[in-house]
Amino acid sequence: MTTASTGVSRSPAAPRRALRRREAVAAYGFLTPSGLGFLAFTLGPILGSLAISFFHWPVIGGRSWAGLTNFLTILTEDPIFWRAVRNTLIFVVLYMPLNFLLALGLALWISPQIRGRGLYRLLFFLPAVTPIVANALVWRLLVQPNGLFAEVATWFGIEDLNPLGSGAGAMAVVVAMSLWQGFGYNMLVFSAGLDSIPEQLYEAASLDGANVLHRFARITLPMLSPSIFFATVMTLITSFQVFAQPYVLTAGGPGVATTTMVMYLYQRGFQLFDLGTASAVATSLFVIIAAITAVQFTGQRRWVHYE
Amino acid sequence: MKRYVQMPIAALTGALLLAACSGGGDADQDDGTTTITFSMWAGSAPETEALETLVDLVEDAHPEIRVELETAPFNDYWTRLAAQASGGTEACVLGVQSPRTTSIQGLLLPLEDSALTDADIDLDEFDQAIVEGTQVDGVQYAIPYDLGPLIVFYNADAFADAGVPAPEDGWTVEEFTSAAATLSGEGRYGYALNPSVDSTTAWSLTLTGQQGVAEDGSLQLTSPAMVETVEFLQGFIAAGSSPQLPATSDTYNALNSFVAGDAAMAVDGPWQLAYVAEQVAFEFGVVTMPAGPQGSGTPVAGSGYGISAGCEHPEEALQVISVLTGPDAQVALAEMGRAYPSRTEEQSAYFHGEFEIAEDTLLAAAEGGEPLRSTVNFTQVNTLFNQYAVSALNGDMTAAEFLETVQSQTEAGAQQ
Repeated sequence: MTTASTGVSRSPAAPRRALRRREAVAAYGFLTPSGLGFLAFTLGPILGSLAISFFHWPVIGGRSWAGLTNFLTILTEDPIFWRAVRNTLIFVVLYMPLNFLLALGLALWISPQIRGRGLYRLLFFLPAVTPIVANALVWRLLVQPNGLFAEVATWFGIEDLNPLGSGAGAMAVVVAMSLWQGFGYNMLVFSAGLDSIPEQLYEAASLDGANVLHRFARITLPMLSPSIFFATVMTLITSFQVFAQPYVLTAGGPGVATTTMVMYLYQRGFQLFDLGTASAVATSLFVIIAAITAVQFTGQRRWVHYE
Repeated sequence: MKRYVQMPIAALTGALLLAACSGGGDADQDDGTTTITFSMWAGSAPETEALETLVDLVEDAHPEIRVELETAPFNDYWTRLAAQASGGTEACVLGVQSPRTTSIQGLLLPLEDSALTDADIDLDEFDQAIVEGTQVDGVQYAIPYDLGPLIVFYNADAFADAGVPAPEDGWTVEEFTSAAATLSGEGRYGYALNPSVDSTTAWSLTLTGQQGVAEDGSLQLTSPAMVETVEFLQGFIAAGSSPQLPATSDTYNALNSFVAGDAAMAVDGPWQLAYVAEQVAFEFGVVTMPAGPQGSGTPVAGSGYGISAGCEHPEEALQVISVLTGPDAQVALAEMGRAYPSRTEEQSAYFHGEFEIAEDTLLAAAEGGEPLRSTVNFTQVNTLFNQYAVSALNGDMTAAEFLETVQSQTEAGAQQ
């Protein structure tokens, strides 16, 4: 028996408490900088925006208590709000599966030790680090009438291709551009996840006679489930918040076909100077995202396997 | 544990106090000078330099005033103004675009006649259409420094190649339409349509003598006159005389199509002359809007300077504006090609070098000009009009359906 352990047995509670307090001081010390940032730049604005949504809050002119009026207005009278919700859902429903398919497919493709693997990873990740405004400007040049896409379409006998001229076409371009920009990040997440799956599992399964599909369904997917869960949560949140793509590419048109919720809240707040309803839109979006994220976290116990 | 919680809260409060202190506008200096903040849009280095020249003029004329200039690109300017106004930190002297005067009226100080006289500003020396354009219900809210009627830019080389005689001021709508048709084909188009309220208004004035906003300031997009105008414009795309429109955030889309040589004509303002002259690789000319049954009509828009209601030194601010819109400043801007002067006397300074070609046209256009009318929620009208016009002009919506949609959605938005 060492002196230290006799010390502990002599008076177990006091030093442990002292240690705990010292650790707590250190922990709070380390947490303070990011905690301050969180309070000032995240929690503060969220609460501020929540508060504003209960007021008539024009940028110019007097402010007054509105109660639930702003919410009732956007939910029952506003002709654009529900269109914006629908557009956002269409975007999410199209973007999410395609993003995962592309990201997972490419991650699987470059997961074996193929030549130039690092280079592929870099190339696929490149769109994710280019500024979204630059991406959107290049896409605009590609898809506008007389652009490259229209030129190529004429080879196949399609004259005057103008995807940005119709609602469905414009949404398709916004989704395509977002995919191009967004798949690289998830691919990297999946690729890292795939690398951490022990090779022995596959060898053992092969010896037992499992074919490629079995190995994918029974080993790869379950082992990758934490990465998939992480990617799902993050991608869903960011795709509900889609703004820059329609803002730069289509300005929300034609009509309101690509006006997403964040685009609409921007228009209400900063073009129409009505911060009250803009905040009500923001709060609605927050509730939708929080609810979906909560469902995901509840559901994860069923399918996410942590080692 | 409480202590550790209190610490960040104290720090946060400190940070908020600091942030609160850093706001605020003008302030008196110890040396007796008054600082006037001046907020204006500028999208490029030459524009900012032009503004700095004006600031120098002000400070030379009034050594007791120091002007603090802040600039932002046009679209950001309005966003920033909104943000600053909501925090009460907007500048003293504000750039005001005439069609937006009504919507930011609440931010601005009404400019009384007596105050204008004291500051040596005589509105009779200005073009009356733009003086009226910067009023709301007969009250002056800004002093204009420039104006622009809409004019037709044409590609003279394309006209010559197609054997179409170059247009002359006073030409007719029939001549325009037939030129547009002749100049179209093989991926080229006669006329690049701009799905905006102001260029549509140029056509509605020409064809029907009416605007989308009635004289009493109410929105009348669904009037037969507007339906007729939009149907007329739909005809260009249907006939292949204009390219299909894309939904885009690029407000220069039509003009760029002209500049690139893809379309032989475009309708825009004289403020684009410098840009067009610099960019085009062909001979270009300008001509008045073609004359229809109602003559050659054009809405006149322009910009000026107003004083924010919260400004602590409105008298000094008006002195600043007096210089900013004075003859010297307007001549300086005109010579730089930055603005077509709102002061009639100084307009001749604009017509030199590459701007000479515009002299007859601009003087002729001024005769058929009337102020572009606007409503309180004109930004929303503009936004929705631009967005839905893409579908309408492409032929995916009828003219009546389009105008009804914009009108009703604007009205629903206005009630909020």
